[in-house]
Amino acid sequence: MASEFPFTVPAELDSALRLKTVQYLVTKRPWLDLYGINVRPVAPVGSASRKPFVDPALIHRCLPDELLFEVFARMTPYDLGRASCVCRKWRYTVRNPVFWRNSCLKAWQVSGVVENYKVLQSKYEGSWRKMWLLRPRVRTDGLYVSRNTYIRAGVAEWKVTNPVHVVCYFRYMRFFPSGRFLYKVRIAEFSWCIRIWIEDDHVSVIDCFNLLFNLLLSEFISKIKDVAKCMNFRHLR
Amino acid sequence: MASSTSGSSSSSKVVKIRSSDNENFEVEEAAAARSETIKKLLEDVGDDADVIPLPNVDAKTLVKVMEWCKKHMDDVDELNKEEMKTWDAEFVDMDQSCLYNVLLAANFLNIKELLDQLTQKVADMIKGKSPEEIRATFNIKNDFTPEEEAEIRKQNAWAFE
Repeated sequence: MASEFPFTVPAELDSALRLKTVQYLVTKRPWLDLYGINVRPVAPVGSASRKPFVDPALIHRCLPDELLFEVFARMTPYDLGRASCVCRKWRYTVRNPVFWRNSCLKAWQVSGVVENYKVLQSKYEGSWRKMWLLRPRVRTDGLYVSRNTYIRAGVAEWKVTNPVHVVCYFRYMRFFPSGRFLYKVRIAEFSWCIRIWIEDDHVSVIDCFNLLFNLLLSEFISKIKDVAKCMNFRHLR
Repeated sequence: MASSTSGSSSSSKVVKIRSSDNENFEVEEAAAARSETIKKLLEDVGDDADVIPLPNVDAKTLVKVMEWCKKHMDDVDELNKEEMKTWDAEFVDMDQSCLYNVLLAANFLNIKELLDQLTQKVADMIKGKSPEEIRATFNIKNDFTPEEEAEIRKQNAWAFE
């Protein structure tokens, strides 16, 4: 019995090795077939909920939760806040503290990661979301406008009373998460832009503010790529 | 590394790939290797690779993915960066079902850069929209009760400023 084996093995060794690599490709890996398929719990027979449930949203039918997570990871906290109002699934996904940690570390990056963790523990009970909601911060997705006026004495001939000029100017400020900021003082009010903002819908607001940013900042810095939409436009008047 | 004595190794090697609906594709190895999954498989099997079966990527999706891989086969120099950007923007501009299929394939094939571009595209579809607009875009059913919705809108009022 034992003497049979030494003869057969060397002859087959080569082909067996080849076979192994081929098997690697051909082997059935049933878990791969399950990729992208959502398995739902089955309700008991006769139960009212047994009728086949098909989610009308293609995105839910196609994408596994891990990919929805990847999509959400690329959104700003404000978009996440709105997304959590869409449906239960999204609200649940957005609750993941990872998103809020990233938002916080970005918003307060000037303080440094270690300091942020300390603040998190001491003031916000370890909840990044709470920190995002409660800790005061400068918004970096818009433009701050401060309206300033002062009175200047005028000169008029042959008059008893002197006229005055009310001089009005605007200071536009844009902050960046890195702590850098840009500002520009202008006499012009860009009221045309603000009016569009108030009257028109959301999409054109973004367009018109991008335009405004570009107008304002092009004099300042030749290349600004990250000109985001403006939301917190402090109005005047 | 097993040395190949068959003499078939030319300057640009070709890899054969089979989609889930049994269509065969021939792709340059450099393009196919953009996929970490395929790259690992090729490393494991060396020159013995015959046809690589991809049991969960259909032909239509695979064509798209390979189109991207071919375009991104070589490293881009500064000059072509802008051109590549517009090409990428056009590439991700497809209908939703196609987008999700390519996204799934990119995830399965582990093509990080493509995955980044596609998830960013979906994120851009959500960006700046109200919940109602998002529901309309993705055909998502509002499964909150009116009370729940009022509550969650209140909680997230800061995001609507």
